[in-house]
Amino acid sequence: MNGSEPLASQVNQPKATSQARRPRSWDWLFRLAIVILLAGSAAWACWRLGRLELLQRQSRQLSSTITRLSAQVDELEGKWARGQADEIGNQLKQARARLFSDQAALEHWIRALKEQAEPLFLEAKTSFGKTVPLNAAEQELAMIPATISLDVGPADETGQSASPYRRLVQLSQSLARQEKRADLVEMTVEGGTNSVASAVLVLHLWAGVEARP
Amino acid sequence: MRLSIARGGRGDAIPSGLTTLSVSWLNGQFKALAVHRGVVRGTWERTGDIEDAAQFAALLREAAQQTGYHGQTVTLLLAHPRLAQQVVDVPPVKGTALQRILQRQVQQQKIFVGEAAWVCQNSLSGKSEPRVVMHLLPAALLNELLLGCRRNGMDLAAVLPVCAALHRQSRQLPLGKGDIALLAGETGGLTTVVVSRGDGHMLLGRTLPGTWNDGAERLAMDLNRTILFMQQKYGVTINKGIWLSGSGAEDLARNVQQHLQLPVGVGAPGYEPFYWARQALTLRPSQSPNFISPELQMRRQRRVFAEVVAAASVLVALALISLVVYASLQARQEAANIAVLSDRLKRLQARQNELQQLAARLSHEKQVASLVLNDRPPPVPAWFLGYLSEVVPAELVVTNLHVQREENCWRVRLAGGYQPAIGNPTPAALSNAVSGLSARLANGPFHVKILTEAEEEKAGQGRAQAGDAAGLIPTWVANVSRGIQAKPAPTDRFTIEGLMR
Repeated sequence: MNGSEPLASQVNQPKATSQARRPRSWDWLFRLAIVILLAGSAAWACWRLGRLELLQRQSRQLSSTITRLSAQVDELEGKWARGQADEIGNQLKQARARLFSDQAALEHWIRALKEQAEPLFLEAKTSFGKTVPLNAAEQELAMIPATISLDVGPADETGQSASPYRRLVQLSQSLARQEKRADLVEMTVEGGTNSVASAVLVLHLWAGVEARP
Repeated sequence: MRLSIARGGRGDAIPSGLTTLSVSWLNGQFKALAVHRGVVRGTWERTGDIEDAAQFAALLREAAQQTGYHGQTVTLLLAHPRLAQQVVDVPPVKGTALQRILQRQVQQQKIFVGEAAWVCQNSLSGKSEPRVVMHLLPAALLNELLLGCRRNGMDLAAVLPVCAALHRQSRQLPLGKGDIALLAGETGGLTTVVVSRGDGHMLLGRTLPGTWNDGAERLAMDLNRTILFMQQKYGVTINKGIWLSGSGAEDLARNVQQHLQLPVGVGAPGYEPFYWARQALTLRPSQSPNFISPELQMRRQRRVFAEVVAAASVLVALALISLVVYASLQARQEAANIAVLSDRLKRLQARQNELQQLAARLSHEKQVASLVLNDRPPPVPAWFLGYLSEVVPAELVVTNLHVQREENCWRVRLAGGYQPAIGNPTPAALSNAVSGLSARLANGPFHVKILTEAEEEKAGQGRAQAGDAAGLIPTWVANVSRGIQAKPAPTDRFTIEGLMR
């Protein structure tokens, strides 16, 4: 116990001073509230910032994908310009006009052949082979082997008609000039010392149907 | 012999930075001194005596108004009829045991009804047992003082008995370590006495029954009784002198000296009406017998600290909430961006698919068109048939013609004989004619590459090998036929075979 320093404070707490002790529980509540406030705010902020970062990452990825895709689209658009597509359309239109599009076209071709052969005193018999698809994936184009057997008849009674050889040349060249694509791929001509007796022409008829959508 | 006291010592200075309302409430006389940052800004004295503690709140309010005090703390130097000092011998124990003993002593020594608030300070013991000076105050009175402050929005930082101020005065006296002096001061008309030793120990504190103004003779008598009491009760002899503090102390000291053998001096030469209130400012509440517990003294600091912490926490929380709001707004904007970008991405993907399909379709159509329009082979057989009429010499006749499209070329096979109308040809004539025909075919528009017999045979083998196993059969037949040689080949026949590009 030193000099004049107080030995002890009051033991019996007055009412007002005892109120100072009571807030100890309030102190803890206050501290708890502060901790909850700060921790809650921090946790909330972290959560929102994390979500923001996630969204920003998604946005960046989307932007990157769009940039890449835009470049690809631009490249595709540049690759097939409008004029080029029209040109291809026209070419395809022309190509389709040269194809046998249906049975009627084939029958028409046979009729036309006979109409050309008869005046030339050629008896034409046509037979078709097995159809060969030309582009198997789409089965859009096919080749029909057609064999035309020609029996060369005698000239008319007036004798004004051309020789069998000339008539055969005329018919074969006429067949080659047709609009529809009929490739003359084989020709066999037989005859004697005087004249042509028979001929066999093998043509590849190109047929085509509209591509399936 | 004249006794004097150092004036204006270093200990008398008001601590700089101290802001408080120092109140001396001495036996009903209420005086207040407003101090702001160590500087006295105003004083106020209540006329008349008020001893009722219930009036403390009103007195304090008026004091604050009159002095212009805007601080928060109040320091009270108190002399009250119910504030008493007792000298108590205690056994040499410490801690809780000492507290219990002191508590028991408080119950025995108190001279009022009800609970007591108390505070002790060490004293000097003539025996082996320690001795303390115990200051006792009714707890209800202290409670009133505290509530009075609280009602005015202030905190009571210290409630000090006036003995403490008087005892502090003794430290400025020219005392040796073993010297013992008596100090008497006027405290609101009454006289408070403190006996103190040179080493700083307070031996006694009491209030005399007579008033300060009852006259020198009465005061001298009371002082003599105190001196005798000290000698008889505690065996302490006051050997250094007596110091008086208060109004008219100089005259009173001279008069008292006439009745006492000990030298009498003036303790506070610069005494003025607010002397005690000013003295209270020089006492350290933590080192003085303060009725306000350290816990209560710290309450305001704790509250300020709590307010600062709360404010800082709220600011931090507000900052975090602002951050959350900002992040939420940004997130909403990003979500909107993502929605826009997703929509754009879908459109782009659809456009890409459309373009890819278009590209595939156009590519296919281009391929089809090219195949149909550009790759059409010319009607070479028809042309060749017509050309024969020009190139076959008159002495030859072609009986067989075969033109066939192969992979990259046309294969031509001509067969015929000599013109019968001309007659039987010699081999040389036939050979010349055939050679001429071959030469014409090799030139001209078709540029037929005439194959020799070996080339024809090789080509024939090649064709046979290219076929399946059944293709070998004609080879066997041909070889057998070649071996049999049934009939010689006719000499008027020819065969020409060639390739056209």
